[in-house]
Amino acid sequence: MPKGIKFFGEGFPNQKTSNFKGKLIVVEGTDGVGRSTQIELLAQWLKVRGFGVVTTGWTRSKLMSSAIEYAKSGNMLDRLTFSLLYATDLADRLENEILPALESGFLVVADRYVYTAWARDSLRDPSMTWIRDLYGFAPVPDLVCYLRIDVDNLIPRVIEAGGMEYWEAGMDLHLADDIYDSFKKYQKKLIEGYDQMAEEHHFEVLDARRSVVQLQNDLRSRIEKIVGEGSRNVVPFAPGGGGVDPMAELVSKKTKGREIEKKFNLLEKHIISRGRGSNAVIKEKAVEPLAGPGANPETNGQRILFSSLWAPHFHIPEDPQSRN
Amino acid sequence: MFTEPHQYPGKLIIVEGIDGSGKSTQIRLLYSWLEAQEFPVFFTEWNSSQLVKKTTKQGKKKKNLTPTTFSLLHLTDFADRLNYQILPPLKAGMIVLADRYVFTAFARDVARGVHPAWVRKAYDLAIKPDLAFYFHVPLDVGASRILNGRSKLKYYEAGMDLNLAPDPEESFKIFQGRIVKEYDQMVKEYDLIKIDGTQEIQSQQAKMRRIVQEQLIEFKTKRRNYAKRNKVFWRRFSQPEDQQL
Repeated sequence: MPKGIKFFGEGFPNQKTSNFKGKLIVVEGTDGVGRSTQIELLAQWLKVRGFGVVTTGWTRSKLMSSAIEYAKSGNMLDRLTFSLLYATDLADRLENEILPALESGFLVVADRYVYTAWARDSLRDPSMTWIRDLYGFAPVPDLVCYLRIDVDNLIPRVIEAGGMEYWEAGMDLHLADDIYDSFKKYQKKLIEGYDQMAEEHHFEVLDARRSVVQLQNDLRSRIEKIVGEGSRNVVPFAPGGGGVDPMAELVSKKTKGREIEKKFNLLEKHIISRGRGSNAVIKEKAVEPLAGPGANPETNGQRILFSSLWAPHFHIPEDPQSRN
Repeated sequence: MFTEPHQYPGKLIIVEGIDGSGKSTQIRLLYSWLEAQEFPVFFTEWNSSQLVKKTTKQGKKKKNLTPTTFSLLHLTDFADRLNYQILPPLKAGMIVLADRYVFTAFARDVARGVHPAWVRKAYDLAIKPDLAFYFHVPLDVGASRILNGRSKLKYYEAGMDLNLAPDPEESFKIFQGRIVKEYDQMVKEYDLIKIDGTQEIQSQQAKMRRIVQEQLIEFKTKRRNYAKRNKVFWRRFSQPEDQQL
């Protein structure tokens, strides 16, 4: 059923507001919480299920990305102007990518959305009136998944992933003398800001302290509710088969995101070349025999069925090691 | 914020009007007059900050700016200038002269189809000028001054992005007509001081100076005796590429 689209405020000039078949799904959360990994997995899952998926992320517009880099590299000193660069970036992506995609029936998965800007700007102006009004052009998303974590659990992750960054630590706000204390205070305030918005804007709140797999499963179950209607079109790939999700295997090996994507592109090609909807099983060649965590004893790690990937209510089996 | 008078010791004087209304000539004359009286003066111009200059230029070249992104880029430019060119001199007790101010955005962006309420809220970070002059000229006067004076109309200047007319000159006239309509409405909304731009340059300037003088009665700050240098309140860490020669 075609639906209209709602905006936070005035919307865009000359914007047709009817017949948006797609859905806008937003993944929010503080820096280092694992948004991009989750979105990558999510996009693959949705694609395998036959949905058209477009992913978009903060500061990724063609128009603005170089100006934002220029500003970040120390050519600008205040948050107000920063807010405006971000707003321009989103406006450009909305008009050139997101809205056209929604119109054509794509699922758009956005890494961060207006809430990021609101959380950040709330430190400058707690009433947030100006920043909310500024984003009046943005459409209200169909679903906001908020990956929630507390600062104490966040810190080791960020340090492990390459350390704290000047802007992520909010160093420009002079909250503390060193980057560690500043990061802690700044991120704590941001999380408080998100928490406040979570109620007001009906976020789906997900506990991001869990393992990648657990969090991914939770994310999928929430998105299921939103996209459920379209999933009827999905042709089961190998009905009745059990097996191990290759995604779980890759995750358990802690493969980096890019490699996941590369492997999956290969897999997808393979699946397509064998013809969708057939009862074919991916040969051993595509995925190496499993050993260790995630290996399926029933198949002896030799042959992997992909039925689970196609089943509408599929969940990734958990990595037993990550439970500890 | 924009509706309340500011609390800074300096004065903010701005000029508005369509292209070819003569406002730039007038504010430059005012500048020399104030400087001759040894007032500390600072001059700032619409769309002149380095921050988004390159982006705007590229966007204009590729013609991929929409009314909203165009408006937001101007707002970013304005915020940058407000923080580094307008507020510091005002706090330092100087007279700031601005060639075009927020009203330019209200007029042009709304003429492009942007929602009037949205653009006004977005510019709420601006401060209210002490004096705002609007140079009114009939549409054909302004248009002929521009069309005779310049070689070729630019794409966005002519409002070609709005598909008003296939001919740039025709499009320019329709676009300017919309802008004038917005300005005329703002004269009442924001108490702009209307000056007839068809009068002689000297008589317009005389009128302006009388009004400015009145505003400066209480204003005592004179420039100290120091060596003249470019007034820069803030320097970037690195020189933008387009300035490196």
